[in-house]
Amino acid sequence: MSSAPSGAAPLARQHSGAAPAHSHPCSVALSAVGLDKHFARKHAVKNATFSVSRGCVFGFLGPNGAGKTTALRLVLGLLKADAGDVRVLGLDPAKQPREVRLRTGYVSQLHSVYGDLAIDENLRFFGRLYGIGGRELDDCIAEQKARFRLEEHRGPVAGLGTGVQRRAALACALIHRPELLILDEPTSGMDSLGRRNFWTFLGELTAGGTTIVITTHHLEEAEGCDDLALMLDGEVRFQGSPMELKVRYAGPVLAVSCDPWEAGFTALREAYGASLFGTASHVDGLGATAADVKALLARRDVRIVRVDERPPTMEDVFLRATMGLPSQPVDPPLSVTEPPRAGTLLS
Amino acid sequence: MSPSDEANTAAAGSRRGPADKCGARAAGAAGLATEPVAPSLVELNGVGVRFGRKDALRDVDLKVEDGAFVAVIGADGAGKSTLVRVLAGLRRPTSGGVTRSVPKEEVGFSGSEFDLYGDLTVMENLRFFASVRGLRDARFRRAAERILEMVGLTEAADRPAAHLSGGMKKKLGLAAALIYEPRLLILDEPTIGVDPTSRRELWGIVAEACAAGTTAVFATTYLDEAERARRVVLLSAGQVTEFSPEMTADMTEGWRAWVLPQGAQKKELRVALARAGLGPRVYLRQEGLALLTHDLVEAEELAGRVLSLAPGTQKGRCDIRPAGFEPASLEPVSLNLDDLFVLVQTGLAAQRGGGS
Amino acid sequence: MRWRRLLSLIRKEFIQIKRDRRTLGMMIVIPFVWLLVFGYAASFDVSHISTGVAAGPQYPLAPMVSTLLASSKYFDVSEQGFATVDDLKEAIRTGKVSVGIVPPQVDGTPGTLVVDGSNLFTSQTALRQLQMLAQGLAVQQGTSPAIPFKTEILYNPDLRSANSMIPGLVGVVMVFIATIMTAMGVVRERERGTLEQLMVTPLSSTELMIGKIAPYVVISLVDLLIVVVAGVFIFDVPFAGNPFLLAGLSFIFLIACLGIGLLVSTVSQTQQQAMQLAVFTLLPQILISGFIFPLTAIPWGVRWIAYLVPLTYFLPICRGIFVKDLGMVNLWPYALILLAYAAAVIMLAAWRFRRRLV
Repeated sequence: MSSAPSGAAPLARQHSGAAPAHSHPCSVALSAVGLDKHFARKHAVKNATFSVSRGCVFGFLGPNGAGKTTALRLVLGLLKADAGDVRVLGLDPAKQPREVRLRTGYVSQLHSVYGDLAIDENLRFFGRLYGIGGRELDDCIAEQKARFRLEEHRGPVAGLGTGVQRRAALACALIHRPELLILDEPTSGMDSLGRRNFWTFLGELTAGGTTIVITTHHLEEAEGCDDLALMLDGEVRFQGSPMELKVRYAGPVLAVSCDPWEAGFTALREAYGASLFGTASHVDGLGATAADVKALLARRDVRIVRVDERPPTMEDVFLRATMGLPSQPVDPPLSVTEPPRAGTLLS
Repeated sequence: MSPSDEANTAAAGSRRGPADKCGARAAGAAGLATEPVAPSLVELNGVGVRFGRKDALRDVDLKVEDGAFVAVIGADGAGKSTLVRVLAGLRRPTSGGVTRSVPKEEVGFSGSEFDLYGDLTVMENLRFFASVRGLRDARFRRAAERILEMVGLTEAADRPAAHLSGGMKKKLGLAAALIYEPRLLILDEPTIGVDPTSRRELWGIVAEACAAGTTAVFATTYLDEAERARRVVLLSAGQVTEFSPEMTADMTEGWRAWVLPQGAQKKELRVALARAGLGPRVYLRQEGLALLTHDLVEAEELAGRVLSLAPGTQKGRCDIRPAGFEPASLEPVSLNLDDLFVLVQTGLAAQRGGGS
Repeated sequence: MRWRRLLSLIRKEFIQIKRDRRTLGMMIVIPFVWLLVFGYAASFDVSHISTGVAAGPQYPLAPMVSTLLASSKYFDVSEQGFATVDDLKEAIRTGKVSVGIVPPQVDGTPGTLVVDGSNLFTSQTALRQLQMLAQGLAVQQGTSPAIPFKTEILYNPDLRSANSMIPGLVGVVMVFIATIMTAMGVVRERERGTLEQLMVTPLSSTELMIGKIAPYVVISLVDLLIVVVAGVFIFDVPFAGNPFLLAGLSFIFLIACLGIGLLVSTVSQTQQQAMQLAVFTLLPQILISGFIFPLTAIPWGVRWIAYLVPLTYFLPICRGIFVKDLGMVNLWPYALILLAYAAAVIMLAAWRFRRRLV
């Protein structure tokens, strides 16, 4: 890792559990070791260990309620961990919360800007909160407005479009030029073009050295991350690059076209939890082989028009991971010897 | 009525027969066979909706045929929500006409936010929305049992809806819209803020309803979700156009997508290409970092540029799949809906396609 | 209109009201609290006025005055440390006493009465009572009475404020509950997005309106009952008139209030706005409808507002039936105005409500 040129994505990094988390204080922007948090009725974060390299886009994935938001709040020092060690930019957020906050930016799922203030007023307010003033503040505001194409938008933020509101929230989070930016579902509700521009922008930011931690439910976006952590039931089940995750849960998806498609889909859904795309039923190849599908549809007297094998999408991979399908450290076998019980793919 | 429509109706009838225990639908299906079937459930003719001085919709013509599964896509603020609300009868158009051949009892709607009663339990919500549509008592109980099973909320039947998780709330919203087996189901951004697991379950539920003959229209900003539909319409500048590779073919003629090989330094390349003014034409898709180009000459040129922009790219830099990087290793892939959307939205398609 | 649909909606409303313990509690507790406030605490009859009497050798009448005052429930007398008028004024300034009496002196200097004018009701009561005491004293001593008239007070001989406040409270409580609850109930549906779900159902806007209003009619009538029963049995306000006439006319009044609530809901986006607007319509009703101050005492500059609110027409009705046993023979003009008012408001509300729906 030390041989990597500065700013380069750590493509070759191993699963973080192996590496001592605090060994490279300069290259690690954020690390958590053995993080634990109990709430009254829930063990929200269980012995979570992960680390984020500087200048990386780090995707934090997991279903709702898996503990992502709690983990982020622990990292930001908004909650106190029961156990474990957190380092943010080399600092302990529990002991130096001010320093940590001055150097981090956070955009929550809720719009974190004031709806009744104009964009300028929001930027000015947040800038002042971070102790920026005078000419410097004017410069910062101009910079953020130019960066997020917010110049023409006037009037209260609440009256602007959702896309503009999200950009405004980001601009506010970046006004103090934080080294670490934490984004909780920033693209929820953005259209494709907005998302593409947003990710291009994230690329720009990381190229400038900013570290970004992002949660998203839209897994196409996970492809854009340098590194991913997958949280399930409060545990970090996986950390590595998107590619590693894909290899680990490799295996095709079968796209089955039938005639009539309704009958085919109904049968495949009952048996294998198929999804429907247009008139094609998609069946997870780890749950059923093409032969299984053909046999089933033959029993139901449904004519198969064609069966295609497709590479799994990130969403397929994520679902495999969350449903505890066997992971595959090596090249995926063509068929799984012991397919999971019918119906377990979608419970 | 086209043969495929006939097939759909027949399939719907046969599927519904055994599944439907309450009998109301059976009567409806029998009625369908004898009466002249309306070609469309809802038809918008020159519909316009104005908010103050802003036109949300302008002169929209749209037919939602029986058995269709339609996705409405569009940029933020394009008027998707308004359009689906006009279809659901929630908003009266400022101009134009709406012809509806489906009674109100048979329209189900679920908004992008939780729009049921948080202080009522799951079962009470279902009972209320079923009973105002005339589904009560024993018939209701059977329908509720079936729908709760379908959306996986049987265990949660007596919990107040406010205490459900986000995904469960969405499922309850769908359940409340589906309990009286509507002929037309309308969904506004059904998966916003929903995690991937719940998202897939939600689409599964919608697909089951569709396979059973329900007509569905949904608005979404996610084009991979639009691919689930059998028909996609694009809402842009207040107007609706059919959106499919065939329909947009002339607009996007000559455009191609190229995928850089896996393992290339995606992020640096992306930044470099974006800085070179390629903006949304450089993006990550499932296959890897992708580029949209208009013709082969440009592709060659871009490939050269990519190479010059990424001097660090070389064999052995990636532990997953070492890949050499040569212009020839640009791999052509088909344009997906997302690409078409971006080309149309940015005006690139019109510029190049129209010009050449 | 389909009755079963309507009933489904009403049943749902009642489940929600039942479950929203805080609001339900508010609807039951508010009449009680107001009863206490207007029946007891804000009683405009003042008693136990702390009174200072100047004492010393130069005031031979002081012990007699003290004894006389102490015998009245209106005064609590203290003689300590008041030698001059200035001592008493100082005591009033610091709030030790509200009334100071300097009896006539030995040298013939006439007595002085010092009253704390900053406390309106206290001083008025003190003056009135002192006058009556003086009159009594005069009669007792055989001198001619200071006031040549014999006063007779009708209906409320003790001039107890409860007898006038509690019948008025019947109207105020209903205005409050009906306006606020209706406005909030409808706006809550809009704010939470459930209104859209209702609109895609076959419920018509009339059914929707009636379904939303009906539960609050019931609750308001229950509150009416609470106020009347508590007024009669706890506050000993005599109920002279026909309870059914009161119920009937209250119903008309209620419809007018619910209509205002609905109107408020059609111009509000959030529950907060609805609450503010509802309170905005409530304040003038409570202040200038004649509930507290007599209508005739209000200058025309604001009195016209009183004629725009329904409570102004309902107060004479409920006070009349409650205390004076008036019937339709006397009340028909008010009843007619209320009926017209209710019809107009409810139609306007229905029209606005329908327009806001789609």
